[in-house]
Amino acid sequence: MKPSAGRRPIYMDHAATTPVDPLAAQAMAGCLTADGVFGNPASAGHAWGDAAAFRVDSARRQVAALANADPAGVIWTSGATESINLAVLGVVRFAMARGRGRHVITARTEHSATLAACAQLEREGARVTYLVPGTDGAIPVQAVLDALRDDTVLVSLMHVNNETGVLHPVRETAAHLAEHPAVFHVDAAQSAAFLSLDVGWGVDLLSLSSHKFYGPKGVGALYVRHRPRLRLQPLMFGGDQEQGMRPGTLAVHQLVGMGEAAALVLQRRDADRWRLDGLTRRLEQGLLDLEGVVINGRAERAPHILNVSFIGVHGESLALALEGIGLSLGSACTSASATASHVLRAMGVADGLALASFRFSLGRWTREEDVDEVLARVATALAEQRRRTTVWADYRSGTPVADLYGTDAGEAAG
Amino acid sequence: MTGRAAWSAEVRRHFRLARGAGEPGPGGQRFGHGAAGAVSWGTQVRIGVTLDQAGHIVDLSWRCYGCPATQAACSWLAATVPRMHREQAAAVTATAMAEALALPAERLGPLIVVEDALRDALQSAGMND
Ligand SMILES: Cc1ncc(COP(=O)(O)O)c(C=O)c1O
Repeated sequence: MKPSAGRRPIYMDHAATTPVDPLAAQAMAGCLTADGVFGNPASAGHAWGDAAAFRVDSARRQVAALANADPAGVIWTSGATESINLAVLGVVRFAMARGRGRHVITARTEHSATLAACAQLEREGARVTYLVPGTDGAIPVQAVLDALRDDTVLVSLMHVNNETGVLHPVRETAAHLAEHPAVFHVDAAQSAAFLSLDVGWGVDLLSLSSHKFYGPKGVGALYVRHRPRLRLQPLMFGGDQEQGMRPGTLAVHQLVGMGEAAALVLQRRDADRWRLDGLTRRLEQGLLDLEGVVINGRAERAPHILNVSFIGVHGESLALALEGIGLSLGSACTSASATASHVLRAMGVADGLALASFRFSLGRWTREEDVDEVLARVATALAEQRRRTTVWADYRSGTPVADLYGTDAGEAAG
Repeated sequence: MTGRAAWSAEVRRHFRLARGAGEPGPGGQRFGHGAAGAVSWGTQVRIGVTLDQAGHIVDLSWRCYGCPATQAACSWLAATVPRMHREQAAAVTATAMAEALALPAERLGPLIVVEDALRDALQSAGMND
C-alpha cells in the first residue's frame, strides 16, 4: 500500500511486524562478512567457529532471559509458526507414539499456526477441544480446566491474542495445570515485547517470534522445559544442532539480531508497556467519541492492540479512505467475497461488523501526535463514508444493529 | 493486511469524487427510487433518479454499502447518466461500468447490484408517469 501523496504515512500495524531496532541491525551486520563473525558455530576448534558459537550462546541467554528461562531449553526456529508447530506436533506425536494420550485443548481464537497444526493432529488421530471465548474475547481458566481429560497431553493457548490484544491469564492457568500431566504450551508471540513472563510459573513450552519485538523476521525460538526434560518428536532430521530438535546450520546473524532485540526489550519493557498503554487508551477514547464504534475484545488487553468495528461502513472502502495509515483490516479482501476473521466470529461478532473491523497496533516509535493525527483522519473518513452508505442511514433512522447486519436487513430496507 | 486490491486510477478518482453521494432525493412526481442487494451479500445499493417531462434524467443520487468499486460505479453513474433518456440509461450495464472503471471480471458482482438498483429506480420513475 502506497501512502497517499501529501499525507504523512503512519504505521500502526506493529502486531503484524515491527521494524528492526537499529542496534539489533548493527549487531546482525557484524555477523555476515569476512571481517565479521561469519563462522559456523558448529565448527568447534577453530577461531571462526568458536567466535560464532560464542555469539550464539550469548543470544541464547538474551532470549531465555525474556522468560526467565534456562538457556539450555531454547531451540532456535524460523519464527513462531515453526515454534508452534514443533511444540504442538512434537508433544502430541511423541505422546501418541507411546500410547500416553491423544487429547489436546486449545481455543478457537488461536493463531492459524496452532489451529492448522491441531487440524493436522486430528488427521493423525488426535482429539482436539477448541474452547470458545466469551463475547469479551477471553477464554475463562475454568473452561480450560473443565475440558481436561485423563488423556489430555497438551494445552496450547496464546498469551495475547494477535487480533484483539486480549490477554490470557497464563500464570493462573499454569498453576491449575500443575497437578495434571498435560504439557502447557504458550504462544507468546504478541506478548514478549510488553509483558513479563516466567516459565517458572509452570509453562513447559513457550513460542517466541523475533520480528514482533524489533528483531529480524525469519527467526524465533521455542523454549522447551529442560529440567525435568520434556521430550518432543522433531519435525526435521539432520545434524545434531539444537539437540537434534532442529537440525541445520544456525543463522548466526538472525539469532544475534533476535538476542539483541530481546536484551533491548528487557531494558525497556515496563516503560514501553506503560507508555503504549496510555497511547492506546487515548486512541480508544478518541474512537469511542465518534458515534457507532464498537470495541472488539473488552476483556483485559495487552497495551499495543486495539480492535474496533465501525458501524455503517464497508471495511474495504473505509480502508481505502484511510490509505496512508498502516492498519490491519479484519477481512481478507483480495476477492469480491471477503471472509470475516475467525477470532471475531468465535466471539460472536456479526460478519458485517467483523468485516468492518480494524486493528490498530502501536509500537516503540508511535507518538502522541501520531495517535491524534490518526484520530483526525479516521473521523473525517468515517463521516464521509457514512454520508454515502445505506447502512448508516438506516442506523440513524433507528434500525437496531442486530437487524442491520442480519441476513435480510438489505431487502427489508429496500 | 494482505492482498489489498490495487484499484485502478478511475476507481480511485470516482471513489474520491463520490458524485451524487448522499440522500436519494425528495421523491415526487418525476422521481424514482431503486434498491438492490443486501448487507449480507456485501453490497447494497439505493439509487434515486429525477427525470424531466421528456423522460430525460436530470439527476442521480445514491447511497450504498459496498467496496470502493461499488462506490466508484455509483459515482460514475451519477456523472454519466444525466441528460440521457430513461430508455438509454436503462441500457447501461455492469459490464459497461466495469470497462469505464478498468475493473477486473471478479468485481462484476457488486456492479450487477448497481445495475439492478438503477433499473429499479428507472422503472419506479416510469410508474409515476
Ligand atoms: C500470536 C501469534 N502467533 C504466531 C505468529 C506467527 O509468528 P511468525 O511470523 O514468527 O511465524 C504470530 C504472527 O503473525 C502471532 O501474532
